[in-house]
Amino acid sequence: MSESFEVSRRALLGGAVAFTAATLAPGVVLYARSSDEPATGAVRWGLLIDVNQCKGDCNACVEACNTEFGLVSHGRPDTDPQWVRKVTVTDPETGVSQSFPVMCQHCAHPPCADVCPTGASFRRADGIVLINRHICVGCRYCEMACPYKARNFVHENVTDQKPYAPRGKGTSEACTMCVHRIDEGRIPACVEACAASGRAAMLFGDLNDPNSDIAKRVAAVNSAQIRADLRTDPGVRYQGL
Amino acid sequence: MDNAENTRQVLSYVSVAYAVMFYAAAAVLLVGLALKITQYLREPPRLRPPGASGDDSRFGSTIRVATDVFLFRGTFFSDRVQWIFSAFFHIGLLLVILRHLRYALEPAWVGPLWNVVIVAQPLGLYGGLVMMAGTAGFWARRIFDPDIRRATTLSDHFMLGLFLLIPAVGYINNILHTDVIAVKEFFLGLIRVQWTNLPTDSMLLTHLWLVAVMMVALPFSQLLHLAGVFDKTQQMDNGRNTKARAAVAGVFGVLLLIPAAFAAGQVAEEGWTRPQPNFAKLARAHKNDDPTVMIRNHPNFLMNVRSITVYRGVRKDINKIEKCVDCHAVKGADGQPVGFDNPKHFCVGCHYRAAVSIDCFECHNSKPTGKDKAALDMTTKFAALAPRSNQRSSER
Repeated sequence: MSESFEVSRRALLGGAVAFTAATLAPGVVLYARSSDEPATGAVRWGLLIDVNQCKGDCNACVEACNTEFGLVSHGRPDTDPQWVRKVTVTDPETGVSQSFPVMCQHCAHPPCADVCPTGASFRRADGIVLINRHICVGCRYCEMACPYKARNFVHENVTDQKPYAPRGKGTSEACTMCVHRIDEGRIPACVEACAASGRAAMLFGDLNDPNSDIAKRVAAVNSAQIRADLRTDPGVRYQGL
Repeated sequence: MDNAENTRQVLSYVSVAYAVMFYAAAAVLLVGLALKITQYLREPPRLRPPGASGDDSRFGSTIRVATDVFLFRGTFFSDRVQWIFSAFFHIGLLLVILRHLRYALEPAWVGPLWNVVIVAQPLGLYGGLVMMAGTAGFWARRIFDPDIRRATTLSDHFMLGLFLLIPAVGYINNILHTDVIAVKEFFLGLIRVQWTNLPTDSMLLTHLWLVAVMMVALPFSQLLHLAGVFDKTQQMDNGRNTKARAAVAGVFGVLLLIPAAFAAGQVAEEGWTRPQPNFAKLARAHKNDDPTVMIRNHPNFLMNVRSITVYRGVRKDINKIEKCVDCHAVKGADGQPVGFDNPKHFCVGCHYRAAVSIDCFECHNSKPTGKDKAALDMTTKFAALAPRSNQRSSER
């Protein structure tokens, strides 16, 4: 892959944050907006995951996510929080296995938001699907509705939360696409970790910007959405699935 | 220092009028209750009501009175529908009163019993609805049951209306966010005879005025049946409405118009609803402002910025609760910032005293997490503000 750093139209806004570009993964374009500006619908954040680059024994994205959000195991796998799952699929005919991460797919038409009785589940203007846990009542309808099994319920008391990632018992939670990082002009923790592991199987960017790496690659290679038949239009796409 | 400033504050006309009104209303209620009790004690025992139990031993009559007072036994066997409505009304009222004790008591006065007030906060919120349901049932009976309608007077409608209107306005206050601390200061000020200013929100003034009207009207109504416990037959007095009683009630009624006029004047000046402050300005200025401004506005402020942050992704520093926590950190015994499980925590002092739960920290970290550990020297700066309650009670 021969990605180079690009500076988009929006990249110059961020000033200082833009300089962190040097440490970023290849193929990542920065879109920093000023902290005064709200997220806009001009952007649609998305991920492209190259399944051929993803290795079954690698857990870097999952671990990065757990570290970023302070997700700790209580030794009860059934109820431990996990926002990114490594899923392995095997073709029964050929015996070929593929492994790749599945997290919140950040649908354009999220079923979780449709069923939410309080309006806590919502899709932000820039395509990130989030939970406003101030009004989440923990009914777990969204967990049932999600075709991707992306939502978790917080079963245990949480202490010493990260300041950017408040979490509390009795609410639903899921991958936020590292919205706190995106708002600062940084890339999601899993993408960063994947690049650091040398695989660079994950590409993050603005699907709406035709000049972005992700948009170009989506236009160039064959990629798929999981359960596209449900027409939820996920923002997370898989290449080589 | 803080205290000295408060005692020197200029009292508004409305606050003085309401203070006088509540003293007078409390006096009317207590004197009325005392008169009613003496009236019952003086009257000779009447005939036993038909159907009352025959056990006249001390134990038997104690049980009879107790079940009558606490379980409304008499009503249960005579009128089941009324019994249901009175159970609704009285249980609701009890919870509502327990909830409102947060305005009338200091935690230090009642010790561990303060936890009852804390537990009663959510219960009282629902208790009000239960009470209104009971009241509505009573009123519906007075309107739709022809037998009862025949025995209904204007004063019955008046009292039932009050008991619906007071909680209704109370709920409006709850939605609009009362300045709980200021109202508490006002009523504790009445108790300590150190008057303070009452917040002049129109709905709060309305709520309190209606309560005073009820306190004055109670002794003249049939509803003061608490005194009926002293009736030797446990039979309720039917409240013979003499002309003299009506005249006295009328005089009190007119007097109540004076504080109402002051309140109306205040509302005419400030409008029915208070405009929301400019939150950005509020956040920037609050270090130099009078602390009561932020105490009054911080719930709305937090509600506002949390929506901006979550829905729109505007993560300015003033939108972040972590910045509040960083600056207002208080050092514990070990020199580390304390969490909200510690009474020294900045938020906890006031919130415990006001019996208002802090839901923020069920998800947000209540300790500073990062860069701004230097902010810990704020401990001394905010010492005057955080343990305000302790300061006051220790001075007395």
